[in-house]
Amino acid sequence: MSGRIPLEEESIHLLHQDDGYSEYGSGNNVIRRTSTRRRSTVPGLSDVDYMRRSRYRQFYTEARSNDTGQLYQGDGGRYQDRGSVKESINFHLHFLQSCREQPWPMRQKIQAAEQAREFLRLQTGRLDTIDSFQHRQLQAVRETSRKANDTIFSLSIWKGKIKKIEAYFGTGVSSYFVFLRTLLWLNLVMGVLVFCFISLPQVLIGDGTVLNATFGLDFVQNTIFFYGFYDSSRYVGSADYMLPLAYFMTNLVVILYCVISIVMRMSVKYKKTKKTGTTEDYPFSWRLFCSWDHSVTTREGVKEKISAIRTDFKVGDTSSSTSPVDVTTGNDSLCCWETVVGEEIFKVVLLDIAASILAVLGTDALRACLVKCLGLTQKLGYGEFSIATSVLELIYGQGLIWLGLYFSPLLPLIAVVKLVILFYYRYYMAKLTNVPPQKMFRASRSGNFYLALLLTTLLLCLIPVALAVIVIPPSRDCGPFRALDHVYDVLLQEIGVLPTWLQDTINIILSPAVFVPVIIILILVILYYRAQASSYRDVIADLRMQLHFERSEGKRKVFAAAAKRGQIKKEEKPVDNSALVELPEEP
Amino acid sequence: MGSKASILLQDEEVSEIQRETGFSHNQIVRLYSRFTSLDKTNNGFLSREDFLRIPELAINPLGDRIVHAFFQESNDDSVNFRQFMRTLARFRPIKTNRLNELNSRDEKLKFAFKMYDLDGDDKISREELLAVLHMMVGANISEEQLGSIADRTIAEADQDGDSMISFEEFAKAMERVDVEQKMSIRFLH
Repeated sequence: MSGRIPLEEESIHLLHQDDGYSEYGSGNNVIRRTSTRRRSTVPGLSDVDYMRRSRYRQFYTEARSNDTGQLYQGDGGRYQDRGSVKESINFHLHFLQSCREQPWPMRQKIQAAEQAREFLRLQTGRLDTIDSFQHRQLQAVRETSRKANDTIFSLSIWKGKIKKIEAYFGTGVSSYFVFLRTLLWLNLVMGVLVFCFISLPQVLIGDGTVLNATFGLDFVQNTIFFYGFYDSSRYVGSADYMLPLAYFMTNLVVILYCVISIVMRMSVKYKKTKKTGTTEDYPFSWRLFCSWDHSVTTREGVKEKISAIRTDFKVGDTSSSTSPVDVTTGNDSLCCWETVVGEEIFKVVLLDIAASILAVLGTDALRACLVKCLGLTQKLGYGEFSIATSVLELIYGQGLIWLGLYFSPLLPLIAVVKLVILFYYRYYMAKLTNVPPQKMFRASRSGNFYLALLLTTLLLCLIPVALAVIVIPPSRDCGPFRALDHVYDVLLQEIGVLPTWLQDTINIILSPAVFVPVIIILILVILYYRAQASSYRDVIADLRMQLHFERSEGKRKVFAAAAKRGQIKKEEKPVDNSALVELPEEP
Repeated sequence: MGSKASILLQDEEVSEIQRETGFSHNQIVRLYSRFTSLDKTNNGFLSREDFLRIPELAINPLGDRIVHAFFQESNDDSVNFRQFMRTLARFRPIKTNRLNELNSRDEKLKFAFKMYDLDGDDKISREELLAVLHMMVGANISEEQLGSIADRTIAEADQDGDSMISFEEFAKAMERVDVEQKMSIRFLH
C-alpha cells in the first residue's frame, strides 16, 4: 500500500463544525481537530503563554483511514507507524491543494487550511520523536553555554569590535587590539590569584584594621596595595594562614603562569602559521576563491566582510621596526623600602596611563581637528594608527606591572582597569580620527613577535625583582618578611619541617656537586635543539626554493613549447610531428 | 488550479534518493518540506527566482553564483527535487565509514569550480575572474587593480599555459585548503 490518494477523485467534505471542534473528511480519511485550549497549570504563566508553549505537545489530530482502518493520532509526534504518517501527510497536502475549491464558507476554509498546514509543519519537521520545544530549548542552552565558554576560555570578548577594526583598518591595527585583549586576560588572572591568596586573607584575618584596607588618601604603607601592609607572622590570625609563605609562593606562581601562558600562546600561534604558512603557495587564488564567508547573513556583516576582503587585496609588506625597551629600576635604602619602590612604580603606572591617553589626544585627535576645521584634508590628511608605537606602549606598561608586582601586589588589577579603558578609548579614537594605513602588513607573524617581545620584557623585569628578593635584605619595619634575614628563608622555614629523607634529598639536589652538572647538561641540550632547528630551517628554505624553481621552470618550458607550436601553425608548414612532440631537453 | 506533476513523496522515491545521495530518511523528508515551501508555484520545480527569494542567498554577493552552480546539474531553468537533493548531497560532511560518492572532495571542488565558471566551458577565464571580483569587492578598487589581481591569480594557478584555469589547476591550487570542512553542512537528522 503506497498510501497515495488519487488526487482527482476525492473531494473533501466538512463533516462537522463545532466550537473548538471540527471535522473534515473525504472517502478515505477523516481529520478531526479538537480544541487545544487548556487551563494553565504553571504558576506565573498565562493561559495564552501556556497554550503557545504546549502547542507542540497538545496539538491533537486524529485521522482515520477507511482503507486501512488505521487510526493515527498526532500527539507530540509519537507515531507508531511511519507509513501512516506519510499517508496522513499526503492526505493533508492534498487537502491543502483542493480546499480552496471547496464550497465552504471562507472562514472555514481558512481555518481548515491553517489546521492542515499546522499539521504538516509539525509532522514533516518532526518525524523523529524529539519534542520540538524541548529541542529548541536544548539548542538555546547549548548556544549560550558555547558562547560563555568562548568568552571565558578563549577570550572572545570584544569580538565584534575587533572585527569592525579589522574590516576597516586591516589586520595590522586589529592585531594591536587582539594583543591588548591578551594582556587583559593575563592581568586578570594575575590579579585574581594575588587577590585571593594575598590580599583577601590579609584583609579578612590580618591584624590590620579593615578601614585601612582600601585605597588610602596618602601613599602610605597602610593599604593593601603595598608591601608594607602585610603581616609577617608565620601563622596569621585565627585561621593560621601562612601569609608570608603565601606572598612568596603566589608571586612565584603568578610569574610562572605568565611565562607558561606566553610560551604556550606563542607555540600555538607558531603551529598555526606553520600549517597555513604555505598560503604563500597560492596567495591570490586563496584570496579570490576562499575568502568569502557564506555564513554571513546580515547586511552589516556583508558590508564588513566586503571591506575586509578589499583591504586584504591591497597587499604590501612592511616590517615593523623595533626599538629597545627601556627598563629602569630604582632602589632605596630607606626603611620600608619595598613600599617606597612600590609607590614609585605605582606612580609611574598611573603616569603611563595618563600619557597613553594624552598622546592620542595630542597627536591623532589634534590632527583630526585641524584637518577638519581648517580643511586640510588634501594637504595634511588624517593620521594613521601607529601600530608599532601603540604595541610597545602596551608592552612597556606590562613591564611596569611585572616590575612592581612584588612590591605592590594588586598592580595587575590596576592594569585590568587601565586596559579596559584603553581599549574603548583607542577604539573610538581610531574610528574618529584615523584612516586605514596605506601599506598593509601581514599580521599573522606579528602576533608572535609581540608575544616574543613580551616574554623578553618579562624575563628582563624579573632580574631586578630577583635581585631585590635574593640580595637585599627585607626591611625590618614592615612587610611579610620583616622577621627574616632573607626572603627565601620563608621557604627554608618550611623545609626544616620536612621529613629527614626528603630534607636530605633536597640538600643533595641543591648542593653544587649536583646542580652545576645538571645546569651544564641542560644548556647542552638547548644548544643541540637549537642547532637542529636551524638546520631544519635551512632544509625547508632549500626545498621551498626548489619547488618554486621547478614550478616556474616547468611553466617556462610549457610556454616555450606552446609558443613554438603557435609559430609553426602560423607559418603553415606541413605538420611536422617531431616538432610538436619534442620538448626541450632536460638539463 | 490543478496539480500536474506528482508533488507527493513516495516511498520508492525516498529510498532511491537515499541510495543516491546518502541522506537519511528523515533528512530527505525534511528537505522535501523545505523544497515545497520554496516552490511557490507548486509545480514541483524550483526556478532561479525561487532560490533568490531566500534572504540569505539574496544578500550574499556570490548568491547568484551559488544558484548558478545549482542549475548546472539540471541543464535547464528549473530544478526538480531529485536534482535539488543531488546538489545538496555535495555538502554532506565526509564520513570515512560511509559511502561518499556525491560528497567527495572532488565533487565539492567541482561545485566550487562551477560557481566561478560562468559560461560552463570547464575553464575559468580572466573575464570570469573579473566578474567574481566585481561581485565580491565591488566599488572602490580600480579596474586596473582588479585586473592585476585576476592576472596574478591566473599566473599562480595556470600550469599549461592557456591563461585559463582548468579544473585540475583549480584543484591543485586548493590542495592545501580544508575543503572537506569548509564545504560541508551538518544537516539535522
